[in-house]
Order: sequence, then structure tokens, then C-alpha cells
Amino acid sequence: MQATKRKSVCSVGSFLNNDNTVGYLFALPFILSFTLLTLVPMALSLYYSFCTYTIGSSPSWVGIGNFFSLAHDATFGNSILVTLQYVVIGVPLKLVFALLIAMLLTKPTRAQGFYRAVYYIPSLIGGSVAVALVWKQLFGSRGPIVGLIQGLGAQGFNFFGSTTWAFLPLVLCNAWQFGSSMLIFASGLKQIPKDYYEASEIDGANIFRRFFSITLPCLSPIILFNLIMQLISGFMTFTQAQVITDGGPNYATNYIALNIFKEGFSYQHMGYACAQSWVMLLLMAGITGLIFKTSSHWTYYEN
Amino acid sequence: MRKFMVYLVMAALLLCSLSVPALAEEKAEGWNNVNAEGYVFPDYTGETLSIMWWGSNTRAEMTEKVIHLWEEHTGAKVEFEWYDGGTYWTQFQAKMAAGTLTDVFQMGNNWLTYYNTIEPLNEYIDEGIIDTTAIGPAMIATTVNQANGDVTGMSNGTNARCFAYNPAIFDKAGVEYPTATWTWEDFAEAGRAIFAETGKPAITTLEYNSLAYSVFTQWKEGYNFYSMDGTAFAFDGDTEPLAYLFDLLTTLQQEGVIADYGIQNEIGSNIEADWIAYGDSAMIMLSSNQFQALSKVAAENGITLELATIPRVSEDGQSGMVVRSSQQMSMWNGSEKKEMAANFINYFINSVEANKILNCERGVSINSDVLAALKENADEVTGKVYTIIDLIGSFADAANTSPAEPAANEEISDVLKKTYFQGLAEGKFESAEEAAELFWAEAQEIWAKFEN
Repeated sequence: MQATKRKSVCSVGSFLNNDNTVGYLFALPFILSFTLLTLVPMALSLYYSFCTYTIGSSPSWVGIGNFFSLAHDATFGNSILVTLQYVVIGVPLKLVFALLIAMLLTKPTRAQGFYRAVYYIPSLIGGSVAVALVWKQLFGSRGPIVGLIQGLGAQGFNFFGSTTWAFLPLVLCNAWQFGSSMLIFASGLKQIPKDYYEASEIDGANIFRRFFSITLPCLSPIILFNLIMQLISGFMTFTQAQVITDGGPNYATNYIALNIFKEGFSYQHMGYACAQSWVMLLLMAGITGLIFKTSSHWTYYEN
Repeated sequence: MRKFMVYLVMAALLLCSLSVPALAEEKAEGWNNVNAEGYVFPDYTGETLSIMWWGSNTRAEMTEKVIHLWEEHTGAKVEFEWYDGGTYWTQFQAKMAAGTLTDVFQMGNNWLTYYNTIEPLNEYIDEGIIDTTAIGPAMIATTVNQANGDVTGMSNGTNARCFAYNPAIFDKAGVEYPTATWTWEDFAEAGRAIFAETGKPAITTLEYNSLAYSVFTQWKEGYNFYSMDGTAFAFDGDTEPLAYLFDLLTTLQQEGVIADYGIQNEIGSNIEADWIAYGDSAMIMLSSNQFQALSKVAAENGITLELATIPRVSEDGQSGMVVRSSQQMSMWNGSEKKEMAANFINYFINSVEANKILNCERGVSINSDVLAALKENADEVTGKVYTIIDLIGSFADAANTSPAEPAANEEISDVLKKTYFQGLAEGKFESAEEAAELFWAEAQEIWAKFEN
């Protein structure tokens, strides 16, 4: 009797001290919040995407009806196009910017830390409504930049009134938040062995040759990482477009996330909005997958 | 045992018959009139009530003051939250989905969209908890669901869409001021003359969807964009009025007379940022209750503004204007404190003391006692608002109350503006007629989505 009791105590103790138990216990807060705040909503949105659903009423099943309508929805098609425009122009611009500043800041000076911090600030505050409002003022019809352009002779020019140019301030606002990519680039630059540069210098390579033949190849895995991260955040752009242009004029900046928000919350088609988000997810996954697939051709790993 | 039961039933019956007269006893009409001398507020010590609304900072300050007054009177605690007009509906829907709406909430003319959250107030009005002795039936009608007679809320006041203009710029351009019956031709002529004089857009803000709805009413007697009960379109599929407005406004915008959509969007609902307040444009469209906030900024820049009606298709035709409820206080049907909520609404709508603080910023009060008290010492700007509301109220076709906005309206009006008005300006349609016809087709498609 006593023996079995000791054994069972022992097994409870060993269960509690088991590495797996401890691991799961520590991970529990994350697992719980991930399940409740991400997994369950995702599963629900997948279900709703096959339904007609308005908040406050019960969903009714329509099969693939929503996806079928999406294929004919010109506004949604347009929102994919303008999002691609935003991503294709905005992401490379941001990465080039980040790399440039990161390289300028690799020279160890006393002010290096200070500058890095300063350039990182926009990334901390950039997604906020306040910054979007500042941007609206800056590029607005009465702002200094439009004033300058009009002064140069473009009478009546106005970024946000033009379907051709409305996207530009939004892209610039995104590129301005290059801080996190910059930090990752900076640490990547530090990893490149100094002797490569020394050897190339002795061989007489100029600064451009050194950049294209040493820096870029050695940095390519970091570029891949930054590219993927920025692509994903680029696809999800929302705040600036909502605050500054409200998707206009004539849907020129009606990015997917904004379109989804409007369908769901303004127009009361929550099921249809869910279907749109799943299409967006598949699109993003497809593009990311494509980049991963091709990355073996253009990334270089030492050893 | 059986005998005992009989006694018990008889005793119960007796009690019932005793209490019937007490229940049936009519309370005197106006028993809950908060303005009456010696009125005793109900005691809600230890209880809480929750409220939400949308609006500006100014509105929030005023509303908080009124809430604190009511708290002092009744001993209740009021939990309140407020948002800007855009965020409000997102919050509202989140609370609606979670079943945690506030006991009282501000509701717009889009109440049909949120109909299943709203407690009809008929019972509270019949019992007199919400006192309507000083509110005319026409004023109550502004928030009634015409389909079934439900009172969906108490109007916070009436307003009308109209135009504000800067007479100084009209003088400079040598143009006559708008009259009560000015037409779209007068409007275009004035706009062009002002643009020629100043080189800046003469008109900076237009509410495209409601202008379109107005032009339908102006076009022919009996036309309306939506029927009064909000269950159908009411213009016989006639796209001519819309083509007329498409053509007029797009031409003027391409000439530079009307500000481009970028400028209009920048101003958005932030009326205080409108160019007219800085002397840079001459005319805008607005809701009459926005005039006080606008005039305040304009006055800081030394500008005096006036109010005018919406231009008409023809001088002797219909006005297409309507005095409507600006917004209303509604009660959540899931509230556990309905009587308390009704008492709050009663105070908020009817109290002279409260409305002196609120000062018709939400709209011209529907309570005649309140309005009389406010008119007595109205400042010049508020006086102009009263005058235009009285003028519009005197137009024959404005006797209609505002139609209920169908659930599809949000999408239809957005599409009208963004796809068709803005698309036409971008040259995406052959002609105004084509745009009007395509809009009509899409409007019906959108309508059908809400049918099932």
C-alpha cells in the first residue's frame, strides 16, 4: 500500500518536473492567447467567408458564393492592383533607404548610437494616426510640398486629388519608417569579414565593385528576411490610407485591408469581407512562397 | 387542505382587485416634466447608467456637464464614452456583437441598420416617463419607423442640410447673394464669377449623395430617392435627375470652380478645417448644426458667414430640402435599466437647464419650451441657424419628415460618390447619362444583397 502511494507521489512529482510539462506551463500564456485571439478568430473568419453574415445576426451558409462574387468585383480587383503597386514601389524603396543609412552608420563614431536611435524613432511612431495626420498636412493641398510644386508652375496640382499621384505620399510615409530594417541590415553588415574588403582593396576594387561583389552577396540572406517582412507589412497597410485619403480619389489608394474594413464594418457584409481576407492571405502566401522558392538563386550563404 | 387553497386563491383575487385601481390610476399628463416647479428627480443612488455618443470635443464638454448635473440630481453614476463619427460605428458594432452596448446611445438616421438593438420608446412616452407635452407630433415623427410606428429614439434636435457662404467674397466678385429660391444655374454662375475673381475654388465641400437625393425630390413632385419608410427606391428608375447633377458638378469641378476630391476629402468631416473659415473659398454645403463650430473659427479670422438654401432645379419647383432629426438618443433593448434610461433621455431632451448647456449644438431642440428659452437669449450665429430652419420648415415639400435610411444606403451612397462622381471626373464613363444608368443598375444590385 505504502509502496504504491510513494510511487504515485513519485509519478506526480516526476510529471511536474518533466521538461515537457514545465515547457508547456511556461508557454501556456502564449498558447492560450494565441488560441483565443488568433486561432479561433481565424477559424471563425474561414467559416464566415462561406456565409452571409452581418454583425448581430446569425450567419447563413452560401457555400462559395462570396468567392464567386469576388471574381466579378471590380472594386476588389482594383484594390489588389493598387496594393501591388504600393508594395512593388514601396518595399524596394524602403529597403534601399534602410541599407543606405545602415551603411552610413557602420563607421564606429561616438554619435553612432544616437543616430541609430534617431532613425529608429519613425518606426516606433510611424504606424500611428498622429503621424498620418502630420503627413496629411505635409502633403495636403495647403501644405508646404504642394506649395513648392505649385510654385514651380504646376497650377492646381494636389497629390490627394490626383488618382496618379495620391499613392506617392503614402509610399513615402512607409519608406520613412525604415528603422527596423536598418537595424537588421546594420547587424548584418557587421558580420561581413573585414578581410574580404582588405583583400579586394589590395586587388584594386573600387567602392562600387566592393559593394556589388562583397556587401550585397554577403548580405543577401538578410535582404531576403527584410524583404519578406516588409512585403507582409506592405500588404497589410491600412492606417495611412484610411486617415489620409480614405481610399480615394476614385479608389486610387483603396488598399485591400481598407476595402475589407469597409465591406465588413461600413457596408455590413462581414462574410464577404472575411472571404476577401482569405483571398488576401492566399495572395500573400503565394508571393512569399515564390520569393522563398527563387531565393536559392540569389541568396548566398557562406560555408 | 383544499379549503385552505380556496381561501388562498380568494385572498389572491382580492389583492389583485384591490391593486387594479391603483395600477389603472392615470398619472397627470406631464407628471415627469423636468422643467416643472418643484419637480422631484427619481432617486438612483448607487445605480449606474452607461451612455455613448459621437462628436467633437466641444460636444463632449457640453455633454459631460449635463451628465454631471443629472448625476447630482438623481445620485446615479453615469459611465460615458465618446468617439469621433467614424470610430463610433466600429465601436458600436463591436459592442453589439459582444452584447455589451450602453443603456443609452446616440443613433443616427441610419437606425434601420441597427434596428434590432433599439428599444421602441412608445411605452415610455405613453406612460409619460418621457414627457412629450412640449414636443409636437411632427417632431416625434422624425424618429418614428413609418413601417410600424415604433419610436426609435428621441431626436436630439433637428437640422437641415444647407449652404454657408461668405458675403464678402460675393461682393468682391460682384455676384448677388443666394436667395431662398436660387437655382443650380445661379449657383454655377456665382461659382464661376468667384473663381474668375479669386483664382481659387469657390466651393470646397459638397455632400454628393444627399445633393443627389435632393435633386431627385426637386425634379418632379412625388419623387424621392428612398420611399418614406425606407423600403424601396421612389423615383421610378428615372436616371435623368442624376445625369443632370453629374454633368453640372463634374463640369464645374473640371473648370476649377469646385475643389477637387482630394481637397474635399482632406477637409472631410472636420468642418473647422474648411477653407471657407479662412477666407479661401466662398461656399460650402453643411448641416445646419455645424454652423456654430464653423462660425467660431471663421470669426477668429475676421469672417462672417451666412446660411442659404440648397439651389433648386427651377425657381418655382420643389425645394428638395427637409428638416430632419440630426441624431437621436436611443435605448438599448438589452438594457437592464430601461426606466432609468428613459428618465435620462427625458432629462436630456426636455430639460431647459440641460439644453442651455447643450445650446442646440446637436440640432434645434424639438421641445418648444426649451426652444423658447434658448431663443430668448440666442447669439447672432445661433439666430441664423433658427432662421434657416424656420425658412426650410416653411417650404411645402419640407413638411415630409426625413425618410429612414435603409441598411443599403451606406454602400449605395459611398458607391455613388466614389465610383460614379469620382469616376466621371476621371473620364471613366462616356457621359453623365451613362454614369447615371450604370449607377442605377448597381444601386439595385446592392439593394438586392440586403433583401436576403
